[in-house]
Amino acid sequence: MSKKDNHADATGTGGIGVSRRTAFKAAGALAGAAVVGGTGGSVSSALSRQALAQSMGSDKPIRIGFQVHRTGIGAAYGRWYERTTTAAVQLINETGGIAGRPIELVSEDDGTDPKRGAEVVEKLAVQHKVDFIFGTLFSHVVIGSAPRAGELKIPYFVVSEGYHVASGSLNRYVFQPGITDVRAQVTAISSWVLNNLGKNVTMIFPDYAFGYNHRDYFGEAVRQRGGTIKALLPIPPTESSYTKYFPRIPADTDVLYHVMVGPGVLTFVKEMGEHFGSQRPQIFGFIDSLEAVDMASPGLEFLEGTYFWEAFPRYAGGYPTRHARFYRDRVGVNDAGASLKDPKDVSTYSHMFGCWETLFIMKNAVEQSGYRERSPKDVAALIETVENMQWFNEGIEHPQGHKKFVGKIHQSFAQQFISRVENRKLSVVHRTSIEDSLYEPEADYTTQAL
Amino acid sequence: MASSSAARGITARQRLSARPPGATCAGAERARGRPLGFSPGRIRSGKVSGAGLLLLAVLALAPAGAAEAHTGQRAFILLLPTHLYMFGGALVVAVSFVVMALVPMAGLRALERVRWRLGDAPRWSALGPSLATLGLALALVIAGHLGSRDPLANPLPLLLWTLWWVGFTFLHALFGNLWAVLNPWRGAYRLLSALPGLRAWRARPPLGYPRRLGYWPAIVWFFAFAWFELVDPAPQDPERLANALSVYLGATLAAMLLFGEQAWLRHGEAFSVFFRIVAWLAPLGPEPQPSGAAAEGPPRGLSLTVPGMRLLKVGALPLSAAAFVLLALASVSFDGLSRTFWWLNLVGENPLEYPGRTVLIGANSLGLLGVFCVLVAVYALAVLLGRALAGVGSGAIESLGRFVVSIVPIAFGYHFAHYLPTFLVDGQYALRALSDPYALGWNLFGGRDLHVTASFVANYESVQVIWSLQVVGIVAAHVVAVAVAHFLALRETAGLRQAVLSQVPMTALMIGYTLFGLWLLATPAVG
Repeated sequence: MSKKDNHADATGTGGIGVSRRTAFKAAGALAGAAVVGGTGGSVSSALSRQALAQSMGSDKPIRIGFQVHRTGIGAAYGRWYERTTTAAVQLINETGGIAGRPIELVSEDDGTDPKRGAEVVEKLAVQHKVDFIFGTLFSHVVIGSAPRAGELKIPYFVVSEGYHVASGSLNRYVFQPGITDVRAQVTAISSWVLNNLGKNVTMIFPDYAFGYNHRDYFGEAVRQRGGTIKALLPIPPTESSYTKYFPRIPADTDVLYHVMVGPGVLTFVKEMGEHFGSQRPQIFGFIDSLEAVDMASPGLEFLEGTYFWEAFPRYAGGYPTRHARFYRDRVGVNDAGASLKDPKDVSTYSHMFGCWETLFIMKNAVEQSGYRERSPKDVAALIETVENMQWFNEGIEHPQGHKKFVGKIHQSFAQQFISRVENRKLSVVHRTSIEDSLYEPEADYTTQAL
Repeated sequence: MASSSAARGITARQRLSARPPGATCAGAERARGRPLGFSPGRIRSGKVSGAGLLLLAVLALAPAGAAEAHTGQRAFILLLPTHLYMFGGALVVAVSFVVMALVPMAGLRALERVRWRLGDAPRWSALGPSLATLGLALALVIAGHLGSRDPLANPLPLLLWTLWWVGFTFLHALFGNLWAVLNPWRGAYRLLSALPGLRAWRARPPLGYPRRLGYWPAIVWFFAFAWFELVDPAPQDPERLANALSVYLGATLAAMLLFGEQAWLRHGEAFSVFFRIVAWLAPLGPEPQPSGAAAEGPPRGLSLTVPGMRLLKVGALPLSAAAFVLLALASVSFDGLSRTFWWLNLVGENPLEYPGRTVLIGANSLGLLGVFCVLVAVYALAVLLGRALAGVGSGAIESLGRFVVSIVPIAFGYHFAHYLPTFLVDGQYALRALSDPYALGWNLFGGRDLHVTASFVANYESVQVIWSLQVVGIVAAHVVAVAVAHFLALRETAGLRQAVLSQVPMTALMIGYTLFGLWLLATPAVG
């Protein structure tokens, strides 16, 4: 295998010396994964794909635009997205790149600003002439940026968790194959919650779109599965004290479902504890409330014994597979979900894996479609190839788990995790199946013109 | 480990199946659900460049994902009994006023006598340090155009916004007016005005600086700078910043050539004015000169004094200079205000779904201007009311120009408290970027792989420490301000009693500003 330069963006990584042994070891791992499953169901192995690509002869880098929230309110997520992306790009380049071509990552900061996001898309596509753009997280930025990607006809892979992709409201160039959306997540956990925690649910959520997602999808799932929504408590987004809302929780509530976000979260938990004391209903929340926050933080004592949805368990014991371990080590996260270099720097573990997996999906899309450059023909072939993908098999490329990809809605479905807070840590108590999370597709991008 | 068995069964299936039927040009008919009131038609027409209002409406109705408002540092501060700190801080400032009320003029003389001569300052070449700064500035402009696009890896935004605007300002409060020596223009001016055609301009600049303009050019430039920092959507974008820096470097040099070096640096160059003002706080500085004459050029005799004593030697500033001081305080105040949930609610935005700066350009521009105007009005009211209370008759304009120097410590206290957390984080990024400024894989200072830790702003114990430092900064700044205002009043009025009376409104303003400053740091905010 010839040595490929690492062209990863210089965000503290620069050129990385690769020993042949590491390269072969990693390539072997990838090939193993390919042989076991074959990402996307391909029968060819990673090594033979490479041989094919090299015979096609291009050594020009594949330029991938990374739209990252480097500044603005998304900066904390952006930091971890960048670390995960860098690790994935490094791994891919160590093992021969994409179709024999090294990845060159071009990062642009969108300031977590939708209009700026659209400008960044344009800059990446037109000025930097990247092949694809990926990585956007915050929903409103995705929504503000995606149309421009559609106009410029550049494949746009988002890692956002929003239902906007699957809803059909974006365009055919937008994909979300590496992370599941909130509708699927909520649907997935609903059976377990109703069967294990109780059938009478009260929901407490912020009074805007994000909260409405949970209210609507979880509400729908509850009703379908024979539960009852006892009360809905929308909290104004500007609220910073919640004490007055807790008395409105009906006494016969079995489960309190909460999805508070923002700076008031710790206060919310503390006041919830003060209200209930030791007599509390079952409590179920989403880890989004506490991404990058240590579960052992002051104010969170009351969470002991409560449950959380996680996309990918923060604590290593929660999903101790070989691939999850490999991924965790490569990204630089310790067993408690914090940075290896700084144990107080807790990661956004339930979101950032999406970057890793999406990059591998893009790699396979290029290799399977024969994409070479951003011409209408190659882009169309790539898009159609992705739309025809149906499974991403668990492995080094997909450490979070198998993914079922529904081409019509450009969205993946995967297992979800339910964890319990025990001794100020999270312990997985249940894994949902992919089927638990499926919903009827409401759109069909494949019928749109490119 | 493996989940559903169905997954394994799929692997043998032919992956590249035929294109699904109907994959032709998009027909008008499409069976598609409308999610959550969101109108797909608007997005399908694809024009993001439509009216901001339209985009806002779209965003307001759009389904959101789960990764929204992040918990962040403010979450820990909200757990603290911040109202107790606020009350305590205000109390300290009030008590300091009472204590000062007991200190007569003799006390001031005693403090003035606390001076430690340090000998003569080295004679700085007008060329050397200044040209070095210019070289650095140009190297940063190049880095802005050619280096990494990542604002946390490119040295330009990091050096300018963090090391220079924050760190260098801190240094001025300790070591005096370093900018007078280190600004990038003096050296270039000396070189350019040594050229044949321009030599005459040094002695007699082609344009006389109009007296009436006062400090207004500096005010305009500073407002533009503050607007760029606080309202512009991407002040950290390396290329954008490089352009802005180039424009400012060029325009200032041109103005110096046209109006004369000293005239422009004294009145028109925003940062010469700003840093000169901050330097009044420093314990280290030139030998105190007779009241009214500020230091020109490099300092000669150096001395150490009680910090802030130099403020008392400044004299009555022209009104435009007073306005500049108030603008400096207003801009750092608005920086904090613009992030609060209170402000976002006021302008009709959902703080948990912060829309980005672009949408807020109008509101924030008005806000910045508004805070400036309100501060000017409140300050003027405090001074004039105080004069009325004390029965001081004449010299209102002088009073307004005299007492504004007591605002300087407050402006600095805000600057310190407000920027402290980002300084600690972005300072690390700056050190890292310096090792590889052009993203070529260098490692000049060995810091290229430095792990930047931001965890101390997401960790209860360290957040408490930072909060305490911020409180001390704000409260101490206001105590100094009260003291300075008291001594100024002693000079202006007939006796101690009159001086104290005249300062009641001003002290009320300062207590209010203490509360405001602590509230800005404690109230729920974005980012």
